[in-house]
Formats: sequence, C-alpha cells, structure tokens
Amino acid sequence: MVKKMSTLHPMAALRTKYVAPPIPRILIHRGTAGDAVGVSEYGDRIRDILGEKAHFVVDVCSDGANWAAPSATVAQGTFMRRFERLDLNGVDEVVECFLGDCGDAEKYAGTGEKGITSRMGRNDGSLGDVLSQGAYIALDRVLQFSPEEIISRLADIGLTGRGGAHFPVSQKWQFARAHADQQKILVVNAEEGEPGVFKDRHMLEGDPHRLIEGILIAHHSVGFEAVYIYVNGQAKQARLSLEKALLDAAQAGITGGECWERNFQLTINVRSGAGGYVCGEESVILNSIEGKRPVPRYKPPFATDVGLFGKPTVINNVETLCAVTTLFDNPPPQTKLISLSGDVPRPGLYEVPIDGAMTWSGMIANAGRNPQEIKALLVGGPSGEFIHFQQFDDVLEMSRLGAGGVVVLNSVADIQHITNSLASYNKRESCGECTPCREGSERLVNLLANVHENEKKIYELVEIMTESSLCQLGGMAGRPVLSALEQFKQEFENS
Amino acid sequence: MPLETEARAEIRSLISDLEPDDGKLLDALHRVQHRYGYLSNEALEVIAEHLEMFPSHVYGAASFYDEYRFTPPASTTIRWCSGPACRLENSNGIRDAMLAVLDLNELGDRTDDNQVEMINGQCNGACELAPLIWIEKQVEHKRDVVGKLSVAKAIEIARAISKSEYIEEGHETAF
Repeated sequence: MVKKMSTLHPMAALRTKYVAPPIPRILIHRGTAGDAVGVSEYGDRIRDILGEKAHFVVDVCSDGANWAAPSATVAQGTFMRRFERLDLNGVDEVVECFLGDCGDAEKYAGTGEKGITSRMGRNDGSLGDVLSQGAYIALDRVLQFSPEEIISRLADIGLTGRGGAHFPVSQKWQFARAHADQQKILVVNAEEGEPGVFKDRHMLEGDPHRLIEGILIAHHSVGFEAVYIYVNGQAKQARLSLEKALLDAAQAGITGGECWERNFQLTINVRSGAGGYVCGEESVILNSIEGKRPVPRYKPPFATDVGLFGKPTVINNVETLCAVTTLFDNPPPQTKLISLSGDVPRPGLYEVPIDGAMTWSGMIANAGRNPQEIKALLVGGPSGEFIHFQQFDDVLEMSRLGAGGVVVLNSVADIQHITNSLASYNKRESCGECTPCREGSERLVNLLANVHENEKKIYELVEIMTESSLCQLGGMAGRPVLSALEQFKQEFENS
Repeated sequence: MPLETEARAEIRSLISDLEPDDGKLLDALHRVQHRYGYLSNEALEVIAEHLEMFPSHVYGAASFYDEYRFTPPASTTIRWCSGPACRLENSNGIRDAMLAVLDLNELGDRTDDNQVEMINGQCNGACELAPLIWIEKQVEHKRDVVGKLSVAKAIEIARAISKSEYIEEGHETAF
C-alpha cells in the first residue's frame, strides 16, 4: 500500500520519492531495433572500459532512429550527442566523449525534442526517469479541471484520432460520457497490424507511461470501469515494457489515484492479439477480446453505445491517447508519428509537424534522400494511396497520412507490382464475413491481371466494395488501386 | 466428461486462474501455445471446458488468427518479414529461393520430416536490417534475427537449416 505522503503537492511528493538527482549518462539504445543488431554487446564493452563508472551507462529504447542502430547517446544535461552505427572504434569515441572530449558539439539529430516522442530513447523505463522528464504533469493538471472542461479543451485544440480515421477525440469521449450506462469501457488499440507501421509498439517500448497518463486523462474525462489494452501478438517487447510500467504506476499509487488522494476505481487489463490485419479494426478488437471470431460488427450501434461486453466503449489508438497528454502544452504540438521505410538511408520513426511546416519533400530529405530521386510515396499501406512526385511540395496533412506508414519508392520501383501485392494482401487478410470484401478482394486481384481490358470493371467493383463492405478493410481496399491507376497509368499500359 | 488425465490436468493448471466471461480466451490460447508450441485438440477441449464455452467456438475463434497453430511446430521456424521495406530489397526473391531450397510450395508449409517450416512475419520496424528473416525455435522461445540478406546468403542459410547445420549468426533474443 502507498503511504499518504504528507502535505506535499502530489507531483512534488512523487518526485521526492522516485526521482534521482540528474547525472551525465551514456544511453544504450536497445529495444527491437537495437537488439536486432546486438547493441548490448557494445553496451557491455562500454561498461567494461568505464569500470567503476559503469553505472553511468543505462539501457534505453530506440529514440526513433532505427537506422542508426547500433547506437548510443551521451547525455549530459541538455547536451546530447548520438553515436550512430557503432563499431568497436566508435565505442572508444563514446567513452572519450563521456569523459570530457566530445570534439565539436553537434546538434542532436534526434526526432521529437518536443511532442509525444520527447522521452523516447531518453529514459531507462523507470518511473523516476520519466517523472524527471515531465511524465504525469499533464494528468496532475487535468485533475484540477472538470471532465467537461477537459473535453472542451480537446475540442478547442482539435485533437483527432491517430489511427487513420481522424475522428475528433472530444466527440467520441462526449458520446460515451453522455451514455446513461455507468459501466463504460476504454479499449486501447495497439494492434497495429498494418505492414510497415511500427509507431505504437515503439511508443509502448520507449515510453509506456505516456500511454498510461493518457488513459488516466481519458478516465477522468469519461469515467471508465475498465480498460483493455489490445497489444499486437508479435510485439512482445512492447507488452513487457507496458506491463512493467503498469506495475510501477500501480505501486506508486498513480493508476489507483492514491497519489491524488482519490480512488480512480479502474482496472487496466492487457490482452495480446494473435495476428491478422483485420484485427486492427475497432469492432473486430471487441469481438476478439470477448473471445469470439475476430470479424467486424455491424454499425450502428456504435461502440460508444454498445461496445465491449455490450457496454458503452471508447476505442482509442495508442498514439491518440499519447497525444492527449500534450493538451496543456503551449501550444499543443501538431504532430503525427510516421513509420518511414523504403528507399531512404535513414528509415525509422519520425514525429513530423502537420501544421503546415513540413512538406513530403522535407520529410524525404530529413530521411537522407534527395526527393528528386524519388518517384512516389506509398502512404497508409494496403488501405492507402500513392503520392506522386509532382505533389511532393504539398504540406503534410493529417487526413492524408492514415495510420502513418510511409514507404519511399525510388525511380525503379514497379508501381504495378506493388499495387498487385497490396490487392493480394487485402484478399489474403479479408476475414470473409461480408460478401463485397470476401468476393470483391479476390475479383480485384483477378481484374488487375489485365488492367487495359478491365479498367471500367475495376472502377465499378471498387465503388461497390467501398460502399457496401462491412469494415474499412474492404472499404478501402480499392484506394491504392485507384490511386495507382490515376497517377501512374502509363505503368499499367503494357498489361 | 472425458477422464482427467495427467496431460489435461497440466493444461488446466496453466489456465486455472482465468475466469469465464471475462475475455480470457486469447490469454488461455497464448499460454497453452507458449507452453507446448501448439494447440492440441485436447487443449482446446480443456480450455473450452474451463471457460465454459463450446469447443467448436474455441476452435472457430482460434483458427481465425495467423499466430495459433494446431499441429506441433517444426524444429525450426523461418519467419519471413513481409514488410514493405523488405519487399523493396527483394524479399520476395529471398522467400522464393528459400522455399525452393526447402522444397516447400508456399508460406505456411513445412518440410516432410517436420524439421523446418516457413511462415509470414510482420514488420517490426527493424527496417535498417531489410531484408530480414527471423529463425525461431518455437519451443525454446529463442529467435535469431538475420538481416541484410541476399538471395545467395538466404540459399546458404536454407541449406544449412535443412541439414540441421545452421549456426546462429544473427543476434539471438528470447521471445
């Protein structure tokens, strides 16, 4: 049990108890990307060299720069220098820098110095570390306002869902809040089954406390009885980090509310999925958690009326709830997480501005590639669209980013082949529950074999699938196909 | 009701703390598969009984997912990353070459001697290693990530695995 903590302000009490004085550190970037290239060997080597100073070396997760793995960052106060693609010589440089000779101080090239990735790759996963970097301050402030005020604040800042549909968070929360049934449920969608998207699992690995803070803000605003976090079955590291953070937060009295001397009366459950693109669809998650066949439900009724176990349910993406924690930032960062891959020298997780400050070209250039060498971007994977190079000077908009998967395609990329692969993927992943998608996705693959002859039929079929599929797997399966046909017609001429 | 055998009791002990009607089916399936590497008919029956469901409902739900298997896993599983970054680096060629060396038709198949199977894997963002595969020992829960593959290298690995001569050369992690 948590002891009542004197008359200190709750945040001050938490910090007094958990936060250690700041020390200079060497951060070893582990996590999925780092472990895949054996970064801990370099960490061990650095510890060996430092000997009795080895405790200054800590394991953290990726800071988003997966391309840099294996990597380590020397962090001394506000000074940070990341050493990328380490080898044994690099290890010596890291140690020299830490011991005082950093050469010319370079600007730290991480992503998201502000925004929701600000703590990623900079904390060792302990509660003290994230508290020292600002965790739970937003929650503390939220608790001083009424739920109505919080929902209205979210409406003011225009926060929308980050899972791809961009539904206003304030509205979704208000629907559930207004529902007469008091046993409301929050489902956190961390399934992320879309190929090429890895933002949520990195978020969970690198800063799970941000999600927990977002959940508690949602709880204060709507009033939930239970939370179910549905994590992708292959994201084992993400689940482990999340469970550790939940345990730490419970022991510190954060999730129970004891810190603030109130009882949150909330149970937080973690569930692992078991694969399947369709399992990221929100009503499929409900069936999956209930132990039913993972197929979509008919809507209406919407989940905010009849959701998990028949209770009014809010379903939010991990990134959405993380973004909620910035509601009192001045101004709240207008950013979106992008999982960038494909033909760029620096693939990885990026937090990009969507307030008009960033263009597609800028994003490609940030990842180290000359935009003029790029033919197109595939944005949003099997439900997405191609962005033609002629549009690269357009600014990034939330509505075009889907869940944030961006694949960079160079001049030799075969658009027709990619389109066919996406159509085959949708066919394979179709759950078969509704006819337009089950039959349509297969028919679409067949029609694509001869675009020249079948073009009119393709447009008709896509219209039917879009209008009448039960969920967005079928509803959006035609989107990349039409986008390819409209912008890269010449690549289909010979078929 | 079937006789309570030792095997059934062991399965039951894995899931004894899970309550019916609380959305615990996936947890139960995960636990049993984690322990045995697959879901036997017997396990499905015990899970159904314990969670007060029909066995057909348990099977109907479980068989919908990619991750659950209903036969014992092969000794070695090659999980092929299907992510777009890998595709751009000719992962399809790597898949086809490995399938050919192992004499398999498609992903999901396994060799006749039950030694090797090759399945579809999901992008986890280690795109700097594209194209990559994971070589997994399902029962030991050990996974070896091998990245920056070429077709030649993939063929070499597939040959070594099929002769049980593969030595871990990537970075082994538990899963």
